[in-house]
Parts: sequence; structure tokens; C-alpha cells
Amino acid sequence: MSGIDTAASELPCRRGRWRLSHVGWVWFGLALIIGVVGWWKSFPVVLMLSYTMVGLLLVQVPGLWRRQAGWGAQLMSIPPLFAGERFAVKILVDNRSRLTGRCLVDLENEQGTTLLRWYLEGVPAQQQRWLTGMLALPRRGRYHLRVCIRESDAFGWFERYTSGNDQVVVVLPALGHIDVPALQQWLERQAGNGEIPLQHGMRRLVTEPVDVRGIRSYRPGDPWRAIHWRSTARRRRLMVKEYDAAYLPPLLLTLVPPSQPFSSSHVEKWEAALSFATTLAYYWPQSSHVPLLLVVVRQSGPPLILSIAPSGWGVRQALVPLADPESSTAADLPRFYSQIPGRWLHLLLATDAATMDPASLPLTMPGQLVVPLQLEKLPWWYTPAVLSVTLPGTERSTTTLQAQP
Amino acid sequence: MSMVRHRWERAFRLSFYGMLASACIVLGYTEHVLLPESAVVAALVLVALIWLYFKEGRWAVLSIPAANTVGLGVGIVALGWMGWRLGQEWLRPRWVYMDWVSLLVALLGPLAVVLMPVKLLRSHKHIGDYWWLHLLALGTVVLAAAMVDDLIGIVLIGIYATLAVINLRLLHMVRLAGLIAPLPQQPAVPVQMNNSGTCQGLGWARGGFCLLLAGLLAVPVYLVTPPSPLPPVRFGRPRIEVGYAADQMLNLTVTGRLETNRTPLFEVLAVHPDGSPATLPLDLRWRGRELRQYDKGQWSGGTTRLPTILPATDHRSPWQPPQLGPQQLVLTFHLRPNTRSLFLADPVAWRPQQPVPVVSLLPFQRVQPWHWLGDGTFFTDLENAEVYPYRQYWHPAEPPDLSPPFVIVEPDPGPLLRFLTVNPLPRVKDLADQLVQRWIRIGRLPPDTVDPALQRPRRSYHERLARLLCDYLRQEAGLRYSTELRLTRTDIDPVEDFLFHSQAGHCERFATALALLLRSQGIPTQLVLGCKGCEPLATPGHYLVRHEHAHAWVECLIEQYQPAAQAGLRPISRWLSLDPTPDADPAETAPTNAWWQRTGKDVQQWVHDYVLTYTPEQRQQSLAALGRIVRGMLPWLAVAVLLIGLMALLRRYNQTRVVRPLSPASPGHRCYELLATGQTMGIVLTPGETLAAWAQRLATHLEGSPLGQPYADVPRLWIDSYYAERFGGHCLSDQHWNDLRHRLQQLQNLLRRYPDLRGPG
Repeated sequence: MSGIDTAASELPCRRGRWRLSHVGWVWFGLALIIGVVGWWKSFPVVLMLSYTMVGLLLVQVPGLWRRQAGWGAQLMSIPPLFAGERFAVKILVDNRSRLTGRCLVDLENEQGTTLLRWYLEGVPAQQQRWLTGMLALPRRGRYHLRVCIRESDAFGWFERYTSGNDQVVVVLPALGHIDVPALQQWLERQAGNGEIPLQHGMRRLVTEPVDVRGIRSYRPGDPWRAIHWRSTARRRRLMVKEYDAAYLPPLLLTLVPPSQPFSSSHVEKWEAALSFATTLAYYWPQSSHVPLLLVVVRQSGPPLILSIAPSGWGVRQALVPLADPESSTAADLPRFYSQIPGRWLHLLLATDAATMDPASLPLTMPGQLVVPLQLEKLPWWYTPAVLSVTLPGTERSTTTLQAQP
Repeated sequence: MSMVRHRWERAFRLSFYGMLASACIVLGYTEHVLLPESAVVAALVLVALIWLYFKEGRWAVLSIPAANTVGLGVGIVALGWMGWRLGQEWLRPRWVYMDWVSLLVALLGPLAVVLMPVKLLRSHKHIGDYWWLHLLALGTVVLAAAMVDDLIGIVLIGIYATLAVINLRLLHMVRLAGLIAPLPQQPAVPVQMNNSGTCQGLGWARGGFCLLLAGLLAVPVYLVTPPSPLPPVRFGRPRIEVGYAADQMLNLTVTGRLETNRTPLFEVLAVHPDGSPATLPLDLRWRGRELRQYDKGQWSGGTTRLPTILPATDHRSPWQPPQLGPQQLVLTFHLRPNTRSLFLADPVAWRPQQPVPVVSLLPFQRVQPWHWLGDGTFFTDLENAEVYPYRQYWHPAEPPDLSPPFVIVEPDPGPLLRFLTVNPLPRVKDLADQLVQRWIRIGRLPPDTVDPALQRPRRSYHERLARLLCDYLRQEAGLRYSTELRLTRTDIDPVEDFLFHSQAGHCERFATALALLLRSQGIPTQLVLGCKGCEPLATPGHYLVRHEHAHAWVECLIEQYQPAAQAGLRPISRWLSLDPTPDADPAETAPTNAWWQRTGKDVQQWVHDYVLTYTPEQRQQSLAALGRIVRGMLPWLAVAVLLIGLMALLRRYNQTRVVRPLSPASPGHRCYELLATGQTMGIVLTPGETLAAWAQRLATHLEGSPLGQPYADVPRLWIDSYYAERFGGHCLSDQHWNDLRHRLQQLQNLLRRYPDLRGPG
């Protein structure tokens, strides 16, 4: 291992050259015009004025030389975010020159739009400062953020641009909300209601005896089959058995995008579908402790398969491919899926139901229970607020600045 | 931070309004002589600026359309005023020394000043509005600088420059801090100011220091700038300079303050006949031309000639240097370019039957003697005679101020001499008569001075009377020498105003008064224009005469200086030179005892000499002085450069001896464990790679595997924490590091179980 651990090498920078700014050029041009007029017409005081204006320009040069080392900036890593999620941007800025300095620090996206801006004043030589700001990116995707430092002299006649490090920020689809208990009940009903003929394995799955936790008084809404008659007779009031949580099957969610070309309504539905998948992946495994597989069908190429661990640990990292499903690298099917193929509850979310053929879906096993979803009819699903679709290039992240404590 | 912003905003506004106000004051002060209404306009704008300073933002702002309407109205009024002014100038020319373009530019001054408060009335000002106001103020001050001609004006310009520089610094600061809206087409980005705790000052002292340094840089460059080929443009008040004008009439109606003009006129080399340098009296007069006709305050050459005289000089060729006497001097004249006149030492000395005393020196050592005009004067018919040096053989007059004796041989000199006795002012004659009567009464003049038949002084008393009148004007009349030319009454002749009302003037007025007094008593008199005095140069025998030496005196003809040598012949006559101008006003030249008064005068003189009336010769002197200073300082400069170089080397050596911090390769380093884990995965820190970049590589590698994904944030978190401690001054808890180490151990366990996670080794 090698690498010199010094401050100068730690903070990356790509330093530009000092040059006259627009204001500097205007100032110089004015001085030139005034000087020519003053000399040509023999106005001595006007000529002195012109020389003084040029002298003011030249007087800044020694200061520029002493600021040759310039500034460095390091944008701290930003974990994957959800669309619309406010996150703190932290930048470490280092004044490497030999003079107390000031600068403007911009956080820009790849189009050059400034997302956040800080103005540092009076930073002593060889000192660092932390800059923080809050940012929210409303659209999913991968954003190239970069730090740009603009130094100038005291009058703004000379300027220099220094770039800090670039960073790709992954913005996941917007996070909605799922009522987890309601989802549990919904899943139980999907698995055990009479509307869908149960597969034999599934019936055995859901009718497998579960542990009885205890007896309690009857509450309205409890199933009458749970009534414990012996205790009821003994206590002369209705008593029901309280069971442990029913066994919940692992979930497989398949997303089917609309067919090309996309219309605006298709795009909206697709975003909603991605958001649903994200929300489900975020909330379900950590509360249910069952694994979740997400499968995103793609127009070309193998489907995108995302595996969410039962603990929910690293869910943001796991959902990174959802930021850009079409171009993300496909992963292999986890081994544990093939071990228990029949035990999965297959949820299907298609934005274009007319073209959906369950038989053609990937990872569908014969006899597997496939439950089509319609988001607008799911009572336990709450659409995120930030689900508006904006055209690329026109988005402007909502920025909220917070003073550094 | 809001306190800091408030402080900046307050300082910015104060300096901004101060800068605009100083620009108004500068223009009003410098232009009020040319355009009196500009002072009124400047005062009104000043009041408006003061009012706006306190009211802006609370009440006194208009919407942009309303402000534009106000501006349009003001512009129309200003244009109307300009048109009226130009019309007045067309009908009754007053500024004849200015061309129409210059006049138009001068009229723009009040317009620019009035636009300032109009611009300030706009609401929602952005950075462009402030830049426009700066430009307006700069344009106003440039116009004022073209007109300034005294120290006060320059000081006011200096005040403006200081405030402008300070405000430019603050403008840049507040612009960066987002306190001023950007240009309309630019998006407004909220700016967060970083409270560094060591916020720099507002830059008042730094701004002034920058300006001082810039001025010190500008001064030597200005001093060595070559002059423009064009003649200077007189923009402001009419400038009356002491100077010799070869081709102009003498006009006594001009008023104003006489300014010194140190432009050299000619150089004289004075040697004895043996070639040794000679010493000239420093009050020697140099005659240029004679003016003989006076009318309504103006002198002109006149159309008549002087009577012919004898004896004449010898004009036989080849020419030989004349012998004028034992104290003869040889004066060689070198005229400066554009000096369209020839000068001779006064009185011109010549001897009968001696060659002419003046010759032009042509190339190849040729000489061309001047011609004797027959009336005691000499002329040359050489084409462009001013280009060639010429030589005068001169002898001090005995007695002084008298020309060589001669006899008028003109058959009828009466009409010629009568022309030289024309006095159009009866009041001047009355004064002269009263003076004669008084002097007779008190015995200064003999009782028979006045011829009862002619009612004029007899010719035998002309010299005595002339000297008395000259002394009277110089000492007894209560007249004061002054360079402030005023006319108390413009309905009478300037000489009458000078003698009886203002009683103050310069040499031209004194000489004219004496000439008219003499003429009123029948003494033929002419006015002589030339120079008086000279400045010795470093080389012995070399003298310099400048425009500021220009002078006027009187020459009267003493017809009966001596009786005729024989009966039947005319008496011997001589021209008598009289200088009635007293010394300069004591009040103006009295030595000042107070040091600040002396310093003020010195500074004023320096500004006048080196800024307002900077001449090419001064430029040469400045260059020479600069060269001497640089040559004298060269050894010290070399020593200073050596010392600075040594100090820089020493400093660089000290910097390289700084103890390096711990390398990440050392087990004691905070990132050692992480780096070791990365090494097992084949992700090695390469030379020159930062820890952050390495952590990003490791994270990317982990993200590529579903098993490693949950741990992809560990390297980033670890490095961020390290940075926070190492550079940010944060102190993270042990629990934080333990959590990180726990996760790292989980990752290490995973690596042991799944060797596939390791990258290409």
C-alpha cells in the first residue's frame, strides 16, 4: 500500500488558470478608452485616472501569485437516496494558499446548473471548512454532482475555477408508505380466500398449524373459528385463541413495463410501479423477516433481479439498479429461490395489463400463485408525494438550506 | 450571520451613495465656471441622493415602468435645456475657444448627474443597475477631470476614487454573498454564507491601500508618457496663460486668472568675444515685436512706420562681427519649435558704420546678416528664419534703457510721429495734465515745462516727464500688480477701469496705461512685447527663457535728448525703454510662515507644474531624474533581490522538513484495517490515489455483488469519518468506530466464506 497522507493530496482539485473575468475585461477596456482619450486630447488628470485604473488591476497580481496553491474540495459520499428525500450534502473545503481568502463553492449537476452555493469569507491560510446544505432530488436516476470553486480577487476582475471531485448520486424511486399490518392481512387473504383456487401446496402452507400463543377475550371481528369453546364455557364469555403470526410466504414481485412507445400516462404508471416496488422492498422484509425478490422485465435483455435480504439490511444498496432499470446490470437468480420455488407468493404489477401474459413472465413456476396488482385498488398502499414526472433537463431540485450549527 | 450581512449591506450602501455624491460634487465644482447651472443641478442631485439614502427601500422606490417614465421625462427636460444652451451659444458665442463637439460633451455632464437618482428610484435593482450607476459616476468624473485645473478639484477626484474603489470591493463581496440580485437572465441561486468566525473586515483600509499603490504605479508612467501630437484641448474655464503670442493682438478685455506656462520659448548662449561664458543680468529684457495702434482695449501693430534715422550701420559684404565696445557679448539664440517670433536683447545695440549686429547662422557655417530697416530696427527676410539659430552682438546700454543715439532724417516725420501720440481716452489725458501740474507745483518739473502755445510739455522735458510718469504708475498711483484680471466696469475702456476703478492688473495694463499717459502729453510711444528675465541652465553661459517670462513695456521717443551738434540740424534723439510694472503683489508672494501654508503652496505648485501644465521638457527632466534614481538604487536593488531570494530558499527548505503524518500503511493509522481488508480483496491503494477515491473503488466492487452490496457503504463511511476527524476537527465517539469495525468484521467474515467476493488479486 502506498499513498502519502497529507492534506494537499487528500482533497482533489483540478485547478484552472487565473484569467480576467468579464468584469475585468470591461474595466480594462474602460481604462484603455479613457486613457486614449486623455492622452489624445491632452487631459492630464484623465490620463492619470486611466493609469490608476490599470494600476489597480496590476496591484492584484501579487495577491494572485500568493494564492497560487488555491483551494481544494471534497464532496463526501452520498448514499443512495429516495426521490424527494432531503439529504445533507457535506463538502470539505481547504484553503491551501498563503493568504486568507474567500471563494464561492458551487454544487453543480452535469448540466452545469448550480444546486447549492456557499460563500466563504475570511478563511485563514491552510485551514479547512465544512460546508453543509440540504438537497432533495425529485427524480430517480444517476446524477453526476461536482464541486466547483470560484476564486477571485477583491474586485472580481480576475477569477479562477477549481473543480473538486465528482460523484455519482443514485436516486431511487420515490418512497411511499405501506401499512404493514394491512399488507399482512391482505397477503393472508390472497393466500387463503376462496376466490382464488388454492394450490394444494399453498393450502397446506396456509393451513399448517401455527402455535397458539394464548387465550384472550373475544373482540369484534375475530373469526368465530378461533373461539375456544372450553374456555368460553368455563368463563361464561366468549374466548378466542390467539395465534402467532401466520406463516408468511416469501414474496416475488414482478414489474412489467409498458410497451414502447411510452405515453405520458404509461410513464406515470411505470414510475408508480417502481415506487411501489421500492416501498415494498424498504418496509416489508424488515418487518416480516421474509425475503423479497424483485424482478423487472426489460424490453431487451434478461430481466433485472434484485434480492432484498430478510433483515432489510443494505436495502438502499440493493435497490440501486432501480434507479435506472434499463441500463443496470442483471444479476443472477439467488440460490435460495430455486430451493423453495413453490413457496413464493408471486405478485405481478403490469402497467399495461392488456399485453401481460402471466405465462410469459420470468420466474413463474407452474402452479405458482400469481396475484395481479392494481395499485389504485390496494388499500394499504400510499402513493408518495413526489411522484410527478418531469422531463429530463428541466428538473430543478428543491433545495433547502440549513445553517451549519 | 444576519448581523454580518446587515453590516455589509450598510457599508455598501454608505460607500455607494458616497461615491455618487462625490461624483456630483466633482462635476459641480469643475463645471460651474463653464455652466453655472451645473452647480445648481449638482446640489439638487446631492440633496436627492441624501434623501434616497435614508428612504430607499421604505418608500421612495418606483416600479420599473414608473421609473422609466420619470427617466424619460428627465431626459426630455435635459435635452431641452441642452438645445436651449446650444441655441444661446449659436446666437451669442461665448465659448469661442471650444468646438461644438467639446461643448456638447460638456453639456452631457448635468444630464449624467441627474440620471443617478432616477436610476436609484427603480425597485428591485439588480447587479446590472449598480454597474450602470458606477459607469455613470465614472463618466461624470472623467468629464470633470478633463475640466479640472486646480488642486481642490484633484482632491475631490481623489475622494471619489477612494470611495469608488472601496465600493467596488464591497460590490463584489455582496454580489458573491447573494445580497444583490443577479442579472435578470441569470437564475438566482440562494447563497449560504459560511460563518468562518474570522470574517474579514469591510476593506476600507485595503481599498485605500490598493488605490495608493495603483497611484504610485501610475505616477512614474504618467511622467514618462510622451505628449500627444495634438494641441491641448481647453475644456473647462478659459485658460489665460502668461505667454508670448506672436501672431495675436493684445486684448486687455480678457478676464480671468493668469496661469503660469513654463513651456520654454528659446535658449540663449552668452559668451565673451574670446568664447568664455558670460553672465547675463537676470532681468534682461528681450524684445519681440512692437505694437503701435490702440483702440478700445486692443493693441495692434498698426500700418505706419517709424521715421528714417541716421547714422546707419555698415552693410557692406562680406559681413564681419561689429565692434560694440569692451563689454561686448555674443548672444546665440536657439528658438524652440513653434516659436513664431524672433527675439533680441533689449535695447538692441548698434554702432554707426559698424556691421549689423545680428546674423542668422545657416548650415555649413554660413551666415546671413540681417537688414537695417532705416529706423533703428533690424529684420531678416530669410524663409522660416525661426528654424535657424541667429546671433546678436550686444553691449549693455550706457546709460541703461536708452537706445543708441540717432538723428531723425525723415523730411516730414510729423505724421509718422503723430500716429504714435494718439490717445483715445480724454480721462487719461486729464490725469496726465493733473499730474504735470502737480509736479510743477511741487518742483519736480520746472515751471516752464508746459508750452503755453501747445498746452503740452516741451520736448526738452520729455525724458524727465516720462520717467516721472513711469515712477508714478509703479509706486505712487496705488496700483497693484495682480494676475487676477478683472474688469470692475465693462462700459468703459479697460485702461480707464484699471486706472480709476479696479486699480489692479498685470504688465500689459501697466504698460498700456503708461503709453497712453505719455501719448496724451505728445510723447511718441509704442508698446513692446517680449520677455523679461532668463533662467540660467547647468551649463555656464546657457540661459533659458520661458513663456512665463513674457512681458510688456513701453518705448517712447525722446526727440530732444541732446541738442543738435550743429545749428540747422535736428537734435539727437533716443528711444527710452520704460517698465512701469511693479513687483508682484506682496500678498501673493509674501513668505508664509505657517508650515501647512508653505506645504499647501508647494503641493499646489507641484500639481500645477506636473499635472495641469506638464510640458515635454519637464517630461525629459523627469525621465532624467528617474534614471538617476534608478542608477543610484541599483546596488541596493541587487542586495534586496539577493536577500529575498535567500529568504525564499530558506523558507522552502523549512517547509520540506515538516514531519510527514503517519502513512496509511502503518498499523497505527486509522484506516489501516480497512486498507488491509481491501487488500485482501485486491483493491490496493495506488500511488497518488486519495483514500476517498480508493474507498469509492472498493465500494463499487462491493456493489457489484449481491452479497457485498449491504457492505458497500462501509468504506465510504469509514473514510468520511476519518476525514471528519483528520481535517474537520470532529471527534467521533468510540462507539461510532466500534460500529464500523463490527461491520468491517462482518465483511471480513463474508470474505472468508465467499472467496468469490474477492476481486482480481
